[in-house]
Amino acid sequence: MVQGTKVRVVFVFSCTLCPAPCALIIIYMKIFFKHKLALSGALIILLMNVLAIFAPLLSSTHPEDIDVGSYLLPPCLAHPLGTDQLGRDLFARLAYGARISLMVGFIAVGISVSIGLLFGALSGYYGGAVDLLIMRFVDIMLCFPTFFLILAVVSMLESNIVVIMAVIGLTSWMGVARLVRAEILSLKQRDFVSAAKASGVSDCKIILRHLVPNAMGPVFVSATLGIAAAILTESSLSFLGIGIQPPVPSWGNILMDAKSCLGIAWWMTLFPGMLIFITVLGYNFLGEGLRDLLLRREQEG
Amino acid sequence: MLGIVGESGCGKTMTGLSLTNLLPDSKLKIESGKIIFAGEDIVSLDEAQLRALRGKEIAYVFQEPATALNPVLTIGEQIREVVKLHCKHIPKDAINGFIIEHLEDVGIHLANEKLNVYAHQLSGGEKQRIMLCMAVIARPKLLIADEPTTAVDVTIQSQIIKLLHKLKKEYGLSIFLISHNLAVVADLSDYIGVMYAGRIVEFAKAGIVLEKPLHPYTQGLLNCLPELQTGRGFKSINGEVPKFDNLPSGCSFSPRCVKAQKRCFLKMPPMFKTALNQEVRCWLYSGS
Amino acid sequence: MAILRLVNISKSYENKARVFSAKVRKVEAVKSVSFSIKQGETLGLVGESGCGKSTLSKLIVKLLQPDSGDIFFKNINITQLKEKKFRSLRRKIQIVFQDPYASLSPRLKVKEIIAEPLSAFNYEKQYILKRIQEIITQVGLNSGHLEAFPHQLSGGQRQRVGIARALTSFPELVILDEPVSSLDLSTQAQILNLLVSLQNIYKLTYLFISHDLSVVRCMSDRVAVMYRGTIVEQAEASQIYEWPVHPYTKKLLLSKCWLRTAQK
Repeated sequence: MVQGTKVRVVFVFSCTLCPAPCALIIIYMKIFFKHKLALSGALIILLMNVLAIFAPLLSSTHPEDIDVGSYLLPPCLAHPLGTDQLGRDLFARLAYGARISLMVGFIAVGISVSIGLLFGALSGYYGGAVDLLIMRFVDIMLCFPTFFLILAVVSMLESNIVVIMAVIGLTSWMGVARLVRAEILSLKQRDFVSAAKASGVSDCKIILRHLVPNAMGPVFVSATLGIAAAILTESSLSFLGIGIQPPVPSWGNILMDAKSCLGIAWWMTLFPGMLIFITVLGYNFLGEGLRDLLLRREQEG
Repeated sequence: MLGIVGESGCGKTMTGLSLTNLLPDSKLKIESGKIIFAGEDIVSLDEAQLRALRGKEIAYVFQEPATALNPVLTIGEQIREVVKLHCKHIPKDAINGFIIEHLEDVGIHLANEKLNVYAHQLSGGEKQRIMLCMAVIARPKLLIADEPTTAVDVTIQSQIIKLLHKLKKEYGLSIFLISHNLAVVADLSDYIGVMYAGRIVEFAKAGIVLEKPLHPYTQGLLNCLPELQTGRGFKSINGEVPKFDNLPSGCSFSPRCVKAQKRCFLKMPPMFKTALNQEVRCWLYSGS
Repeated sequence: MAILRLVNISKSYENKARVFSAKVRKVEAVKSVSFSIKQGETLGLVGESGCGKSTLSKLIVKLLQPDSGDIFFKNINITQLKEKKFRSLRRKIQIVFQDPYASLSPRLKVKEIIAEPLSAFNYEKQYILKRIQEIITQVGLNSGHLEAFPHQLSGGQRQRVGIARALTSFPELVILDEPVSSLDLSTQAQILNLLVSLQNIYKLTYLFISHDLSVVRCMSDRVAVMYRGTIVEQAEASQIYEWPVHPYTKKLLLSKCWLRTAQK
């Protein structure tokens, strides 16, 4: 019983303390920077993005260039992370691979969030038959073992990066849809939605202006965690040889290359494995931090 | 019984919370001064001693009964928790009877049925009664009631006020009542303190404050009561309570005061004492 | 002329008693309510929380559809109107909600909130801009507040924004659903004054809903008392305070008497 008032009082206090519009952002930033987990997550992701964007500058060679004669070199000055069995520079391959892996994660989640938002909003706002139809469709989609579905689709279609992104996106929107639906169900009971309706605002505008922006907090969190999952899925697909096709490097297919020389070239498995691990960890940390930040603030408000 | 009145955001709740050192943030600390309760300085007590004090000696009732009760526990379980904590002399098999007795005291009908009920099954007035019951069951010496009537209907408001009256008489409670409604405070309190921007601006016996309010702010508050309005058009105090990080120089009420003089904007007045033992923080009374 | 006329309006909610039981408990929120409001007057509607006041207000602005009965707005039966045809009438009937914290969209700026009733109908940008500048000063805020978000405002300021939103589209009937009950007494008086002065400027008709008889008395020409979904008494404001007839009205009046006893 103390807790309730505590939270309210803190909220009132933080409101009285921030007269200027930018003050809220500053408060957000302060909380964020205090949250060590979120901060380290954001740093890791920033680092990975720098690696991906500046890949041509950071690595001296092209990932598909073969340095004849120097295959399976352990880390040395010329090749800081060693070379693979064809004599390609591992660092260059990982840096360029980061581009593919991160892009797949980002765009796949973009697709799944868009679909999830659309279906979730429609389902939550209109209710009734629309809701029933969409939610049963979600249930059916959830019944499929997703990974095997992706395997089946990818092996039927020609496997390229667009297909991979689309397939991951199309099979992972159900969580977002449910999340958005639940948020909108509770939001549409609020007075500001009634006020908008009473002013004659159209349904479409109510959803886009009043409901979706307020439901975005949890969506951001689940999207961040979703990127981590998408990167893992892409890596797994590529590892199985049906994802990104060589010679284009991705973290997954670099690992697959490493499989054959597991015993003799430790660097070939260690570095890509570590990269995947750290990146996924980074996204999870960030998601965790965002959850604390966005959702806790919303409860106070 | 002491009543504190003032607009929201003027530090009433903070005062109440600081009485039991329940300030919400570890960063917020009581900067100076002493709070003396039954001869002991509360500020100097450590956390364990405070915990013993809270609930047992000083109880607290919050503004919103809806959020102050735990939704997943029955009313009985929640009250039992308090009894087990603070009334150790009650034998286990007598607890239920003890609770029912107190529930009836606060005016809950069919008390033994209500024990197995959840908070959402009760009306707002009943919830507030349950909160009061939980607060007084350990027979505290002091009850801090923070806006106990604000969130409920007018009809229930008067019932709650009657109940507070009754509890005060039967249990010998001292009550520290916080409200923005001067009428509520006036009805219950022996003494009234009017608070503005973190300071007490007027302090006197309740009857005196109502009959002859001295501070312009108190006069303004009294004029706001809808019961006293005649015809259309309301008397009100213009403007808003200043934020704590942006207090005006001089008397904090001066920008909104209709009787403000030059010196009001320059220096914060001290407390002046008048003939009727009425204390007021306003330059208008510097002569008396 | 009656601007709004309600004829035998009823509305009930269905409440399932338990998750798996087929038994449906019907809760009658509004039971054959009839009244009318004349152009330019203020009708006060008093009752405890849960007596169906808010349901009634939602029925009038067609956020809910009544089970039976008719609502006439300027002799147009709006219960029969399709939503598409009613939309153009919406700007003539506006509503101000009780909770200024819940009734403003938290992610929109004040100017966007106020402009909404106009931007929903594709008015010119220039006109909207001029109109919100005008209305914001009329409700006692300044143009600096237009760029603020609701959470940066105090409760009283938020309620002013809520009133501004209701008035941008030049409504004729405004439903005030407990507009001051969540505010401090001093702020309450400010807002009530504002409502009175706006009524004079815009020649508004008010339906003023509140649980507080003393507030209603100061605002209304006529008062209707609602109890458990029905209107139990309806009379001129002065009359109902001097000669209450229904026992419930008497009880309501009595519950406010403690102030007078305290003063003696």
